[in-house]
Amino acid sequence: MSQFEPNGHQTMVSLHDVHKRYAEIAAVDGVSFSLRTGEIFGLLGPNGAGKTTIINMLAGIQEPTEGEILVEGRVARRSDVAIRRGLGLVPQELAIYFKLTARENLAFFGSLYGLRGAALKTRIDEMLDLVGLTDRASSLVSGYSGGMKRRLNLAVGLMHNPRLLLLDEPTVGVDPHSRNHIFEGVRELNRAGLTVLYTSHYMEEAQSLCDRVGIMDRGRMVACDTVDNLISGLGGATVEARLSATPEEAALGRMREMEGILSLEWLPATPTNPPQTAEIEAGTLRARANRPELVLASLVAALTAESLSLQTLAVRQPDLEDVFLAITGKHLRD
Amino acid sequence: MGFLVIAAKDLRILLRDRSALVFLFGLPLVFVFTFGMIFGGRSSSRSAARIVILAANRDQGAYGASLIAELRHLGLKVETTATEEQVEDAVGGGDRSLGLVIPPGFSRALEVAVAGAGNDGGAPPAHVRVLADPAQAQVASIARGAVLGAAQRIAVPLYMAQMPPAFRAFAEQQASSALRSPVALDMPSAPQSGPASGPSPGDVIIPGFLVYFVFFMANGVAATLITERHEGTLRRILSAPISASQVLLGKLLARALLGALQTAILLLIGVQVMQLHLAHALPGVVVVAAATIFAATGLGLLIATLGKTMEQIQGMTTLALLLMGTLSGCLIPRMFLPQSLQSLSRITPHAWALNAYQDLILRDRTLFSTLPNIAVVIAFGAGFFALALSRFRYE
Repeated sequence: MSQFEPNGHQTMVSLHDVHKRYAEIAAVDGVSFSLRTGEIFGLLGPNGAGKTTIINMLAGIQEPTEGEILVEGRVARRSDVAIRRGLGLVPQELAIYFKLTARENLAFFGSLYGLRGAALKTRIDEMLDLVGLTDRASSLVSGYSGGMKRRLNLAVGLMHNPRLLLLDEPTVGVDPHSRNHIFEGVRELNRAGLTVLYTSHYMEEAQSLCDRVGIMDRGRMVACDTVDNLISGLGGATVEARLSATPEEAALGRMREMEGILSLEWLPATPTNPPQTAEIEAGTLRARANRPELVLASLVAALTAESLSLQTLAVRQPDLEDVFLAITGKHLRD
Repeated sequence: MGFLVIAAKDLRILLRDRSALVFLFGLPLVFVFTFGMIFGGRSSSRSAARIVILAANRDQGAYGASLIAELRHLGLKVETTATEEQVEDAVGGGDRSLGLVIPPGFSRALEVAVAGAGNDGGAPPAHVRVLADPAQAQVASIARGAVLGAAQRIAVPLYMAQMPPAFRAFAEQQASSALRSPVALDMPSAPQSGPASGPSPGDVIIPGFLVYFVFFMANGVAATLITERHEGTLRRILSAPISASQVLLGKLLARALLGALQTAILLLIGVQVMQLHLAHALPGVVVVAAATIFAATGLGLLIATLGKTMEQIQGMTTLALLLMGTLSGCLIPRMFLPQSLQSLSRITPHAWALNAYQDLILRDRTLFSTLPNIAVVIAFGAGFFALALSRFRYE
């Protein structure tokens, strides 16, 4: 049994030392964790970490090379068709038919789960209402906006009223309005008892949505706990200084040696770290410290000594991004 | 019954795709009309060079062999075999387009016929038996002319030899009229229930196109599976409580229904416009069509599991189907192919399906007698489907 397994909760899904290999590549490398009934569990990690492969194995689309997956106490196998009745999958891709209407899409996928007649029609209406597509139910999906397609993608996964919803990066490329709509829908369903496994490489999403998270890197589970426990386990806070010039490596080295600094890094301004001031901004100096109030003065003094112009200075509590950095030594979006 | 749900969905999507419908139904009709205008039931003198006659010479005299030599002299390729039954089997089964049986006593009968030439009443002609594959009826007239011409080339010197030298100059002028018919051909008449006056352009062309275009559906079957894989819908379908075989069966069924519609349209056009004689063969044709559609869709599923991208699939399918279509005789009559390629055609399901159609439409055979051909087509389909199922997985 893994150290990540919870105790004292009803288990919906458990993975025991699961491996998935493609030739010599280990997509999933000895992963063990459990999902408690009724929780929202976030599976986080960069692209290629193995999150989607785990979703595929849970959904019975792929079989593990080694190890065992139990869904509601039954071993998940491709040949066990019935086990998939309780699972709903919302893939990262827009896995819907653009040449069908929303109603036809929902009817098709509902029918695959055995819904027929009045029950099917009622459920279609409920789902259209849930994702706000009732008005466009009879239009071809090809004419929908990206956000509408994404919402329909979610509705299809919920058509058969699953007990476990597998959300595989459901908000990639989604506008804020649709993202909020999706989040609200997921929270509402979770309150009604739906268990959710949610994968993402957006840490802030997971932080706001999930009860517990598992952090994956290169096929392995590197951390698994509640968001609060992971962050408090990291300790300290982060000081972020936005600078108009890039510090020399020697200067960064001197700052790392300062008393009270746990770690320090330079993040050049990039599309994933966009400038936040109108002035020319070279990037962000990010330092983590147990007592940030004690290092602020010496850090500012060091920057002044190096003739580095400070644009903004902020102290913030650590987040899952910091947890991932601390555990793996790299950024989530690297 | 998940496969019915998948089939209904696929049909709905296909029927909304106008360009696919044009390709599926319009293109075959254009081909049929074009090829019908080019080849429609006419013989061609250029055909003679590629015609192969299978001959059984059972004559103990010299003239049987001479007849074969003269045919070769006329530019025809003549292969020999021992028995009349072998000739019947080869021509009846469509392996050879023409057969010639020279009976025992042919030389003696020819001598008698030539000796009696010019007398009142004359002598009965020497008989040879000519067999022609109704599916390649355009060669029958060539055979008739060639055998009679070759016989004449033997009979004239024989006739001259029996004349006194002083009369030979006069006799030479009279030989062709005196030797009007030293050899008679025993050729089967047109089938009673089939085409009354020989095969029509539709009889000759439609069977090949029925097979060729139905097999082109393999492309569509493969493409739909690859598209579903790339767009993520296959992943979603596989996460539903449905087995892989149901998924494949659903895909197969949707295309099979379209294939049936395509076949029906081609047959209707054949009957209405190209004088296809179908009434006597309709039940059998329905069975052959069903077997052919099964094999074609099975091949499509197999191809979908062999390639990863649409480009791979389309390249692979187009090449394979063109090759098989040509090799099998669907596009070009098999008699125009070298013998080695004619034998190779048996490795294609097309050839067996085409043979079955031709048995029913052109050779006036019963459904029962062409069942072996149909069984092979179904075996191809079952093999394709089983292989596709064993290879089908999400990765």
